[in-house]
Amino acid sequence: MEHTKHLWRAILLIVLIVVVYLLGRGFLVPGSFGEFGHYRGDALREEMNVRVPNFGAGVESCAACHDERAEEFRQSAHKTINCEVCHAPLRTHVEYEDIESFIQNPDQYEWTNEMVIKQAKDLCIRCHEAQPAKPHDFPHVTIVEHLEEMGVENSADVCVDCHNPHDPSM
Amino acid sequence: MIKWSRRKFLRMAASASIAGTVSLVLGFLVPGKLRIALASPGDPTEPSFEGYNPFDHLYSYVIDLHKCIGCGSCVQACKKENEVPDHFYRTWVERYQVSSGEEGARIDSPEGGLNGFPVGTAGAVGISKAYFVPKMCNHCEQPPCVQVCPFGASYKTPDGLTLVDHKRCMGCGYCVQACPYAARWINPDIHMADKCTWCYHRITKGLSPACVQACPTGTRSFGDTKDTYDPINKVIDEERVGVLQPVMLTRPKCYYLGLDKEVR
Repeated sequence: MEHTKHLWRAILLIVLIVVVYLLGRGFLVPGSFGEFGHYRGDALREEMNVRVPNFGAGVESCAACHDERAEEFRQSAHKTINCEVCHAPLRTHVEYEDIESFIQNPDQYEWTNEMVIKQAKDLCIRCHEAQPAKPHDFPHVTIVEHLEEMGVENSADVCVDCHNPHDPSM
Repeated sequence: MIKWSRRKFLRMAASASIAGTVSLVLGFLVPGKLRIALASPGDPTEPSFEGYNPFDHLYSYVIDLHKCIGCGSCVQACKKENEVPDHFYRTWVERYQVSSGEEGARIDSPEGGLNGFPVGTAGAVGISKAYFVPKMCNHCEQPPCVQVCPFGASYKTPDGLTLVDHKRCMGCGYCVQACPYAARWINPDIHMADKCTWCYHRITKGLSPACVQACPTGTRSFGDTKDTYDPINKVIDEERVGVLQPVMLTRPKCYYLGLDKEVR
């Protein structure tokens, strides 16, 4: 045929364009694209494993070791507060500790990350200082008035002199 | 030496290279979705997560404003869990103080409520109503931030979250401007958009988000609406829940109980 050569050239050109497109797409589109939607599926896995959680699973995580404290705490008015709110995230306490050797020899073990114990009244004030925006049924006082009424001198950690944070009722 | 004519040589070379390239493309470089479908003969939507399938969950968040005492434990917990830089907040608490006879509300949020709210910061004279409003990313069903992203770095997950791909984000800040809730900001450490992730690294392991766990009054609750036994379903089904700025038609997944007209 007269035009076979031109026909083949056109076909070759089309094939070449398709191949270049597929090659380019293959290189530019990430492998996990489209797995969950119009984005890189691996991004979701990266977000899932962005870090080991710093906070534990609540009071029960702490109770695994400190059951004597937890027992008192579970009965108290403060039972809805997570231990780590007043102390510190669990991971800062247990990470880099040799739990195996602690279990074998609890008395001799020296903790490198002692848990934070805060006693300053600032911590109590955050929840219990009276102000108009607080719900009316929530126990809150004006600290200065409360101390005057009780005849107690103000100091940095005055609250814990009378109230046990783990069981605050008198 | 084999004697080939130039024509024959070119023809052979061209067809050989085409055949090679096509097989290479089909073998290795087919687009992601097709490759996954080819790799797993079962359900193509089944991802290879370890014990977690995002198609099995759909999360919602409920904030009960009647209960919030403005202690800021949630803000502190979020900072500690997600290592958020100073003066930036993935979640924060606002205080609204309304006086009768005065137009609008006095709104303040000292340090995002990180250290609670001192009584004096907004003046406590003549207040007729006052309340705290915790805020965060609403994980909208129709998120404007995802729509405007020119790099496709913001996306919706099958379990209902709005997240940022930190390997695609260029830090242009379009999404920061698009968000009607001011939930996004540019992280000064990585120069990329940052926002609340509902602690995705925690919820995929069965833990609750750090803010929910830290809340002492039960203001914040989080749950899976696909799990019929999750208590959050009862709240959403039976209570009168509202959303922030419904006029934006973003359909937030963050529901509020006890919203006031002043809250925006």
